[in-house]
Amino acid sequence: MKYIDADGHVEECPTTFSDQYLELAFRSQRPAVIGRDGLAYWVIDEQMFPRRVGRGCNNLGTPASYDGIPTRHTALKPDSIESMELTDINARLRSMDAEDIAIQVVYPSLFLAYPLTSNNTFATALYSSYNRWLGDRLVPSKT
Amino acid sequence: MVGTDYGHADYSNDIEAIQTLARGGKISSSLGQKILGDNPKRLYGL
Repeated sequence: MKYIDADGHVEECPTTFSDQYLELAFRSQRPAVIGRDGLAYWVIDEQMFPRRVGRGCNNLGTPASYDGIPTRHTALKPDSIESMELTDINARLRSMDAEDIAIQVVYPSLFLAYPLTSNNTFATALYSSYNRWLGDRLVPSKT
Repeated sequence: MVGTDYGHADYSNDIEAIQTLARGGKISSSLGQKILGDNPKRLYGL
């Protein structure tokens, strides 16, 4: 019997918002990753995500690393960054096979924090960039 | 349905839940099939 995982995730990475995917008009606002005390954060419109304490807090798995160093949270997980970020689709498929999962519905992680920006046009550009990036991640010949 | 939340910090426990459901015991195999396959198929139109 093969199963359906109704709620899996991909961890976004700097490539998600690279020139290849983010519209030219928004590249000066490109989300950046910073590291601090073994954890990593996205900086978007001068706000840090995830926001781990306080009202509306969120504890996202992204960014999974900074400067090539896995975060403290990432280091505790059994799977590779390549699988979590889908830079190696076969790594993810191996994890699914190990659990007899035939289909995994993949949701974003960063966008669980809402809103990322009060600029709707910029937000749309971020969604578009993510969609283009994920589309490429899911095509094996492009990974 | 079951979601592993793969990628999140708590997902390993959910994956074990899938295997527990698949093995059966406390619920019928037909109910397990609905949870692990039939229901998500219907929801997502797969």
